[in-house]
Amino acid sequence: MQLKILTVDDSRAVRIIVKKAFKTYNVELLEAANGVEGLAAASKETPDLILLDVTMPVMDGVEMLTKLKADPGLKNIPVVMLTAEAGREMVLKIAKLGIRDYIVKPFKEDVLTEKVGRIIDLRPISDTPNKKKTLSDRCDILVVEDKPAIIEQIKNGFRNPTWQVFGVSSTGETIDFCQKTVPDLIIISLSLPDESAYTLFRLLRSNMKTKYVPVFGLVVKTDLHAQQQAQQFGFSSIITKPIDYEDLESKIAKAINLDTSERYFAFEEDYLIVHVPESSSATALNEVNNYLKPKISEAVDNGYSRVIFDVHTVKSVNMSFIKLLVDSMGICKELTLTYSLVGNSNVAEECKGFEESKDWIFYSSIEEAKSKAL
Amino acid sequence: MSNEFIPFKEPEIEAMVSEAVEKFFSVMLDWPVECVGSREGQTADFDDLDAPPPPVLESDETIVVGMVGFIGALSGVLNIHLKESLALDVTSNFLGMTLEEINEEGVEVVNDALGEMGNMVGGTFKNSLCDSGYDCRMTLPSILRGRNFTIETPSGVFRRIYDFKTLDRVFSADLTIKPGE
Repeated sequence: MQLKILTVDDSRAVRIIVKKAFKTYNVELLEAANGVEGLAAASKETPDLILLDVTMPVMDGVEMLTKLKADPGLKNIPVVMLTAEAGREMVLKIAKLGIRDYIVKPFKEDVLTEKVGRIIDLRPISDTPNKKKTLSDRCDILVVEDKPAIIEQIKNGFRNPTWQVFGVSSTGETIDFCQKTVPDLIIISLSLPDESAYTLFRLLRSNMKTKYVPVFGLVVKTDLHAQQQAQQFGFSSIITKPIDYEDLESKIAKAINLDTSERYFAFEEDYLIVHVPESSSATALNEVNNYLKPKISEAVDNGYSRVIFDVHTVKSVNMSFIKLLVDSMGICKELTLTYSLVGNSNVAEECKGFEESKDWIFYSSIEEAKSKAL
Repeated sequence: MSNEFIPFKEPEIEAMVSEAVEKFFSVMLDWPVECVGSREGQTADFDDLDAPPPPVLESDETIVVGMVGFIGALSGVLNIHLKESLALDVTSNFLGMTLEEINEEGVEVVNDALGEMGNMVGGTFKNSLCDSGYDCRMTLPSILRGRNFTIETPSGVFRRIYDFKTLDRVFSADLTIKPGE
């Protein structure tokens, strides 16, 4: 649901600046030029928050606030004063009327969004449902680690060339970086000195810009205490060293709601090709499984009637792998799609050892499957 | 003009005006600014109408002035004089608009921006007065626009003009104060 903020200020310039400050957030900005217009807009729209100036013509902010607080239907709307009036007596007078915060002009846009974000659940537009990012979209990952070798290792570890890894080594550098560019995801080494990983996590969560950015903790596999502590703090996920990059990529994709289906599904000529990942780990197979039904439905919607399951890169067979293929074939049968399997001799041999897959026939290449099987 | 009318020394007044201007420039524009001098603002000699005081800011350009008053234990007005070219750049940076967008909107958006600049600078100055025990409140800002005009004040008031420089361009803050009611 889109939140509504009402800005009541006789200065059009201030209303323009307020609008600019909130343009990256999922809020509807309502405007009024004096207290009378402000009360009318508040009654009609019931905003989630009101930003109120003091010195205005027709009806000033103090009078509007007094009337607002006397109206049972409007008195609970939080009000933040945004005014050049900051004399002690005026502030005390207004505070007695009941306000949530007081911002003195001139003001930084960041301060405004920060203070408003403490009162209402301000969310960046990118967090609202819209077109999902895909693997071909740029994704900025910030790694906070005081060991440059680890940062370098992570930079080289990702398969996807559009994922940009940036390295910083301290809390201060992280805050500076996030002021300029909000990354899609942050990985913090839990072994930073003086437990600064946790202090940094708190800072990131209290800042409007980074409040919703997924934060992963990075720690050696054997440090169970740090893993437990990070979970209690609310880190989005914990990554253990040595890093399993396939697992990390999968966790990142899930955390940033990335559409990775192009890695596993392709439409070629008349075929839907399903590429089963090399490791056949539970995480990777689960990722394929999540896309299976929607992708096969998409194929049917677009007139495709043939599916090839390409498992030729798979190194070893396990029950999760067999189950994925059994489920996939079941969906194809249900939708009257024809299908075939492409795999290496090792996979074909191992499949003979399972009851469900002992009769499966594998072709050695996609071309062979296309020419002979379908 | 002496400061016998107000309960502050001149350096204190200059510090308050400078702080108010610098705060606006650093917070809203992120521009460096410095006070490069101050001078007496002339009060009117109503017996000599043929020799008016010189303009606050000498220029062939149109001058835009953001004016805001304060009334209370001390009363007065703070006027910020800018050449139109600087006023346009201030508006652009202040509101996040390009010069093309400002031209499309017309002169009103520049007036709005300069009025608010006057309000913010005047507000910070007025708050310093309040915090020093001289409670006062602000008036609505207004705009003066034109060429080769003078602003005259009656005798019995403190008036001083502070010249500032930002990005190699000058502008002035013209302060008038008198004891309030």
